[in-house]
Amino acid sequence: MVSHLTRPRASRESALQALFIASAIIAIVVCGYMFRNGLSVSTDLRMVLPSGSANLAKVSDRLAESFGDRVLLALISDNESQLELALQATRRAVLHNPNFAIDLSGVERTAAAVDALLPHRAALLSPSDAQAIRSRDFTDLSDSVQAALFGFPSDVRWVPFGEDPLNLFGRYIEAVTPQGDGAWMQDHLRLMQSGDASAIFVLRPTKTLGVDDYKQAQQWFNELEHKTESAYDINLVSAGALFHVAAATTSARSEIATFALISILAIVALFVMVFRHIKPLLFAFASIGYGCVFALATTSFLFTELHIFTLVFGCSLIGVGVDYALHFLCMGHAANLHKLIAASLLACASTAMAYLFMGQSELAIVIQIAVFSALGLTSSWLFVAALYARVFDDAAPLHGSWLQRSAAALQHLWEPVTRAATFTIIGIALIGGLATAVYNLSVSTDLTSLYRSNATFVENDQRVSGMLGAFSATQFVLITDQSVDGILTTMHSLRSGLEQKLTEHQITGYQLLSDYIPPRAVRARHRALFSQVYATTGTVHSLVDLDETARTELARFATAKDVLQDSKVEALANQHFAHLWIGEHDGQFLAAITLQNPVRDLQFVSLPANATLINLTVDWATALTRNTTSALLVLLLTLAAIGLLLLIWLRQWQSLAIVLIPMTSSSLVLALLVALSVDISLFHVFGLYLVVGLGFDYAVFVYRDTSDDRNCFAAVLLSSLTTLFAFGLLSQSATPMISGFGVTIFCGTLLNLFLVPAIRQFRTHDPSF
Amino acid sequence: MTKLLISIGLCLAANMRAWAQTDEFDLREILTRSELLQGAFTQIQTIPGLRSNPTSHGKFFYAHSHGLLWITEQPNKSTTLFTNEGAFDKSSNQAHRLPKSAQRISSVILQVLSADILHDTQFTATLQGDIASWNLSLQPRQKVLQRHLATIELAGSEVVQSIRLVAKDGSNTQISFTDVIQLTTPSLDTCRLLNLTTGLCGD
Repeated sequence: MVSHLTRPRASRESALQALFIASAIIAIVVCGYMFRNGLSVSTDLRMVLPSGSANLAKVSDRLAESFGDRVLLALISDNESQLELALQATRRAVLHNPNFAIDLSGVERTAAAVDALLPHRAALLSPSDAQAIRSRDFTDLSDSVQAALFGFPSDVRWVPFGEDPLNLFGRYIEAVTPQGDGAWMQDHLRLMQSGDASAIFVLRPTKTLGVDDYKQAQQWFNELEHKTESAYDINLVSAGALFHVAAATTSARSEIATFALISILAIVALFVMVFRHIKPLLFAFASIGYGCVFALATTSFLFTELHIFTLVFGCSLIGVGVDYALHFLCMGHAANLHKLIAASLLACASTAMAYLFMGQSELAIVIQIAVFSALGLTSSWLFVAALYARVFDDAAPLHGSWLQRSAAALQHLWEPVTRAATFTIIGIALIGGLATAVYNLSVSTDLTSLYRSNATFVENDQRVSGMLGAFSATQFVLITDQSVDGILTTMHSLRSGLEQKLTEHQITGYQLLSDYIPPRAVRARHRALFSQVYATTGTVHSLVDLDETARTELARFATAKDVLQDSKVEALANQHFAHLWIGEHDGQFLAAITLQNPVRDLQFVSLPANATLINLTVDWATALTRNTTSALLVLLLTLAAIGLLLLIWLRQWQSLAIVLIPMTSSSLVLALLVALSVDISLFHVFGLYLVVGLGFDYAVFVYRDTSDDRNCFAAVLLSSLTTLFAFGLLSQSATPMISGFGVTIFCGTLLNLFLVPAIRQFRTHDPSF
Repeated sequence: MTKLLISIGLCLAANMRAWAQTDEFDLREILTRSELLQGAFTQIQTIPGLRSNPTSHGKFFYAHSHGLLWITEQPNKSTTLFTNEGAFDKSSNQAHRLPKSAQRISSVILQVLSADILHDTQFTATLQGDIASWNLSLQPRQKVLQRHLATIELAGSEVVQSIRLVAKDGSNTQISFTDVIQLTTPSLDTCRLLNLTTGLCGD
């Protein structure tokens, strides 16, 4: 009889230990992989944003790469001589910094692009010249040639006179070049705007910057700014993604260190007060440590690199992962162990499920956080469940009268209220909370609810990119087509619409690839016009008296065949216009029309079917709203799934009451946030997931029929305290998405603690649980 | 003893720099001495591929720190104004702005004529000779100009007497200035063409 009862338990324990050994082996293998390849930590802030379609992600990445990791250093002064001195000093400082170099790739790319287009100049005419030649109105061209021959020399020619007497190529380049105010000097851009002279250096890192490098780089630029502004009468403005990343990294690292340290100290203090023995503390930290290492190694293996925000969130694992150790230490009597394992498994499964439901988000960072947290918690539980019996013979004795009194108060909190009244109160709280939340719900569309950039850096970025006349990286027109020529034809057809937008001041400029490389039909027309002008009997000979050699050479070039095939066009576009030509993806070609200073609500009356006006900021905000709304719906699904799990596991209708607690807590938290006029962000909703998971944890343990209620409530109280501490710290984070997450769980845990004792009213007597 | 030698050396170096500055300063001072100059020019272009060398004649008005009015009279008539705000064709009654490339050239021209170019980083300047007869050679450092222009050579004494622009494509432009005089009472028409309303053209 006894052996019949003990055999299943023994096999369960063996299975657990086998599972633990398997997980330990996995942990060792992936840790080995991690040590061999190093732990790669990403600081890419774009992971925080919705990625949108694959096409959009490619375009956005390509536009961002236009400056990418470059740093822009702008020196501004109304005193030219001071500017010159500061320029020389800055140049010397940059040359002495091995981590950065002055970047002229943009200028070299432009020169290389012109050189690449030169052989095809017979197909490249400015719109005004094409029109003039077509209508045989050579007045302008004639005046231009006369001015070139007899006027003061002010003509810019890319081709010797004899090869292009009318300077058609020069006029074409003039027409397609963005009309900025600057002129490139040997290593910097010089501008004159509003009476101030400016010089801008573009710097690029000489190596890939790691997490440690960003802070050093920021310090170097801060010192440079301070020294230069002290020595000269200039204003030095630095701009670039580097500063945002450096700020985010510094803040995140500081928070990781602070939150982890304080959490650990709090847990140590709690354990010392309650258990007054080193063994429980060591066991608890071992379980947390195992969970963290397992999560770190496996997530790093699965995702190749960990985002720094994942590590910040991971600090909260310390406060949640310790729950399992606390429950076992408080209630781990030898006779109860198998029930405790079953109950804790149910609790762990519900919390892990809550995290995994988070992973249905579009945000890459959320998926990573979900996987990290679920793996960490599960492995912590496995450690405790598998090894507790081997380390401890019985539950650890609890010390501290404050704990006994508090646990007793919690245990008897709802006793004065009848079962029916309890159900009514909780029901009213649930419905009232839901009604308040639904009626007043305001979903945040603000991207700053995820991450808030330093205002000074944003201002610097806008100022310097404004000086450079940079194109928007978030608003552009996306063109897709099966063929290269199809892309160019569509772009060409949009030209008049863009000119209209320019006239209406809805944009201040645009760049079309088809302006640089016209579609096939247009090129053919241009070649015919070019030939008309430059052939042996062409119009040019009535305007200019060329010698025989020049005449022959010109005619030969004018009548040569067009070698600009689609494949050549694609190669040209890839090499020289990478910010406009995205390339082939999924059997389609992608290209972008970039816009300069577009108004926020820019619209086109009609666009062809293969052209889409993209506003990434609006798209991200829409995606955020969509994600938040669907996350709320999935939360309901989560609750339904947990309810189902309960029914299958416990086979008792009353067990559904367990779901009521987390449901009520989460609805009241949502109602509270909404009542405080907080715009609900995605991370508030993700916080609700964890409120549900943790509430369920506590409810499951309290629901158990046990004579050990006092210790159970002690465990619930201690677990709540560590959770409150961990997420209370997170709520202080400088990153809005992290603080929102922390605030939600902090409030939810308080409510769970208050509501969980009510479960005692609904318990049944079931020896199996 | 060593300290004394070093001090003397430093003083000499400082004075040499001062003498050099005096030469540069004198050139600039000479070229900007007169508020408004008038003169005649002959321009000859040597362009590979052309049967003959285009030659033009005309007159000019130069107001330093304002602009250059270039009036071609032969073989065609045209009037162009180069100022720091840009280059304008004033051949007809309505002035129209010339392309951006001409505007860049415009600011360079004005700097060259006033010797401001000596203090500018756009060019590497080499000055030779003395006040009575000097030569100034300029090589562009600006990326775009480097593609088109090899050198600008100026020669003169109290005024600029000639400019020679050598382009990268082998063509060159030789401009000679004659009958250059200081203008103290410009005509209304001249002031209008120069867009000048201050100084000698003021009320």
